[in-house]
Amino acid sequence: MLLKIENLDVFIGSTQILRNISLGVNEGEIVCLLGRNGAGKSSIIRSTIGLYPSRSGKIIFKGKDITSLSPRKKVLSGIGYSPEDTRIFTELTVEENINLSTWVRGKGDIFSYEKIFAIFPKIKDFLDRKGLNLSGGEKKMVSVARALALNPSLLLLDEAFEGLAPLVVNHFMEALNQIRKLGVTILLGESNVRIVSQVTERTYIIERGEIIFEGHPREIIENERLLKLVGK
Amino acid sequence: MLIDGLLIGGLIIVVGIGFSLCFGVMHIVDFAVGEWVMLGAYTGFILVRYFGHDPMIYLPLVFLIFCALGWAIYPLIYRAVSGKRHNPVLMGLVFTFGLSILAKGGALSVWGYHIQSITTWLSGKSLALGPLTIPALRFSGFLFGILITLLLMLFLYKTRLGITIRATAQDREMANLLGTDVRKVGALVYSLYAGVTGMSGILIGALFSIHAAMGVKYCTLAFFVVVLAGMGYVPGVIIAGLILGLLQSFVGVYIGGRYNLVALFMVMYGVLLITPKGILRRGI
Repeated sequence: MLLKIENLDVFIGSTQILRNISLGVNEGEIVCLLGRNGAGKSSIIRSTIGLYPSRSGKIIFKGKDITSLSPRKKVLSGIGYSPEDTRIFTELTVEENINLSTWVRGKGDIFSYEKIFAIFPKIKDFLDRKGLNLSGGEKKMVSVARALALNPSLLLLDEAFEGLAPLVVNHFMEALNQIRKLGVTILLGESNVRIVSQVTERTYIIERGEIIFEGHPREIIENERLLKLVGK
Repeated sequence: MLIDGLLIGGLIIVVGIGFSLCFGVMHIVDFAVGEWVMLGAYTGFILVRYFGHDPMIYLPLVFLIFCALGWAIYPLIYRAVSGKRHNPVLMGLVFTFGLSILAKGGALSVWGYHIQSITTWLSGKSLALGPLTIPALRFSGFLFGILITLLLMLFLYKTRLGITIRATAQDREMANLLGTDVRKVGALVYSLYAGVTGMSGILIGALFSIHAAMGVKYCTLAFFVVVLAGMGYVPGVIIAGLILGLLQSFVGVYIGGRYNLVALFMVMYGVLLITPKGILRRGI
């Protein structure tokens, strides 16, 4: 198993935001965290990358306990992160945004531009454009490309499809499959069960900071109670 | 008057750029900015007194000395602003305020209230540009400002390290999540800022006078430039520095030099009220 989270409890101040979270992601899988806004999907992703420190529990990545590692060390150990709001450096060009990761990674096992262009061919057309002048869809592409440039084994994508036009959503789903074929495992936070059912075979439903279901997305679509719970 | 304003603005830009970078990357409002200028001026004064030669020769040496000082002090600042139990912004303010008091107190103990000055071969000379006569020292200060600004801009926009600094200034957490060692970037920026600010102290000391309390003025000017430019937005500092220089000249000629600070604060208040992200609306 590439990523294993065991009994994770996370607090912000005195408020508990994640309760006893346990999940696993196998190598080469796309696993989805499904739930309504505020359910705790982003919190799980942010805790995995180290932005929210855990009070108890373990995060095991490639067999090593990385719970107490700093976010930077987690990134350098092979976890890429694309946040919900993309957080593109608006003053930097797209090329500089992507290069920033490759400079850190150094020469050698760099996720090459050819691979990035194969997944997101459109990026080629706006490489020299500043982040400030990108559309929402373009920002999402650059955000994922930037995380891929770190050559991760595991990619954490938070609400990758949010705010995208239906046509772009299809392109993005295709892109995720391509990324998986290149050997990158994906943990995706998403609130739309229809999208989830098309890109993943294993889904966790998160509700009020707890995992309440694990299974195939089809089971959710066929279950009125679960469907009502996820809201779509 | 217009030329005079622009000439003053050139030097203020140098102080402002370092201050802005420092805020952008580390989110520290460095109250000690003026004291870096003061210490730079005194260092130039001491070097000239003990080793002779023109103070301009010592610019690179003073830059290196202050870079080393900044590098040495940075771990303390980092510790003060990154402690989990503290309010980092407040801790940064308190720490740099303490540094400022320490530097000022130290200067007062060593040099007292005496006003000193640095004389260069340019002092008293002037340049004739058509109908205009420009003080050579003031012009060289302006050229120095433009040169340092251009070099800093080249560094920030054309080198990997510079681009990493700009990314860190915009979103420190995200830069860290892309593998950037933001602590090292912070150390480099603080070192560069201290070096450039200390070096500009020599020219400021040659243009005006040197005394232990001179830092307050430059702290105010740097703060004004950064607010006008937009907190952390480095390119805006150039425009803001020139506006400040012009404003000081206009107020000095038409209203009176003693109203300079009042005019500055009124403009700063107006900017914060109308466009809190600076005149270009690109600050934090």
